[in-house]
Amino acid sequence: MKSPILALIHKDFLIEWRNRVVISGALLYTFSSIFITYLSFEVSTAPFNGSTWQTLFWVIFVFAATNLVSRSFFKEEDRSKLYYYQLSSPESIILAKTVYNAMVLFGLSTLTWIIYSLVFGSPVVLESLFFLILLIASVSFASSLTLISAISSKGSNQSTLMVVLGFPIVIPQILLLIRSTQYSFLTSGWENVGQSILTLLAIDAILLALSYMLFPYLWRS
Amino acid sequence: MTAFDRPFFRILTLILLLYTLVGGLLLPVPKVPQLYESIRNLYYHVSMWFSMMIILSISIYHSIKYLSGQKMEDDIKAVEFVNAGIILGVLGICTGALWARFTWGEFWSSDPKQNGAAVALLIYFGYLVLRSSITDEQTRARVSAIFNIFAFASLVPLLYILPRMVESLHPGAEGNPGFSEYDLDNSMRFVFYPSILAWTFLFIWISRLRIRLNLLNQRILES
Repeated sequence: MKSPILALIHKDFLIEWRNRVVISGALLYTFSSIFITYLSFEVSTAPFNGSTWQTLFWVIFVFAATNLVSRSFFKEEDRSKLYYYQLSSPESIILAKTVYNAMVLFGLSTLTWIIYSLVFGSPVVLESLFFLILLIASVSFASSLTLISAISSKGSNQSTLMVVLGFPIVIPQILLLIRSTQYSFLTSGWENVGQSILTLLAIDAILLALSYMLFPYLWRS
Repeated sequence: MTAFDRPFFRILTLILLLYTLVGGLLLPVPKVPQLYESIRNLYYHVSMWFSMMIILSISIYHSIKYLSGQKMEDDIKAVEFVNAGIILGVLGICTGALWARFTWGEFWSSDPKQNGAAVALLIYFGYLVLRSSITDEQTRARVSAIFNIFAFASLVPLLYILPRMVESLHPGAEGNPGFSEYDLDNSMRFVFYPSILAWTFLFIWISRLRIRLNLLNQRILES
């Protein structure tokens, strides 16, 4: 017998595998954003400096992540939702959704990085550090946006609410991610990046704990 | 009827406000280079920001109370304190921008705390948008209470941790305690602390009036 959280994550992957709408939609969304910026910026004549590179990268990724996570509580607004809620506790549902979102976001961010670097080149010197930052970014956005997506699914205009409520919440995380990314451009990055990453992880822990405590109130109705 | 609705509280608020206005403009202040007389804005800008945080914390308290008790009364209190907090936040940003114009040179200097204040307002405008997008009263109360708590938890690092990690024009950046340079002169404390109370009490007064009005409206609707 699997634990309920693992079973729920498995269920989410199975549903996604069956129709592949959300993930392929998010991938196309990212690739078209990269292509639009590529056409607008004429990088062949004026290549990016590090600051422009990382700003554009994180802006594209934040929009794609918000778009992707906003679907977490979207497709289950029907009777099947009631069924899951009877089978398992709300705590395991929010944890499973967060872990699932973090995994999908990590895959999306890695693919975004590969395509983005192919198009724009890459000022990243420490690939392993940047990879770690992508992992932490996925966990961060999953922990802040999953509950916001549950909240906005209760409103009448879900996609607008997701942006209006989600963006201010992720701003502290984006600022810390941008600070950490700058260190991955330097060979001495590993020595100085600790403070930003630890602060980021502390914020994630707070938001995750709050999601865990608040979600049971959200679905009880 | 709470202690905050009694005449004594209102008289106290008026006295404190009068003291803040008159004492804040007339009492002697230390001569700090570059700030000069604009240091008096401490009694308005900084204390309004302090009372905004106090008022918003009261709102969080009522949101938590709503989630544990499900009484509509607590929802009305939470939203009215958020409204008061938003007004204080707008006033705090405007007084801060004026102060920045005359000491740092620009109304908006892209200081981390200025940006944090703008994000704080975005979060609470989002709270109001969220409320207006839900029609069912119970759901609206529950969902907005949850967002209130969650958003406040993400606001605290933005306002109090991140500005200390980067260079800021505000005093208190890079790990220094916030008011060391003003604490040198004790004369300012005699107006500064009462001014925090004055703004907090004034906005509690305003929120209490709105809360009582809404409670009466609710009672009329129910009967």
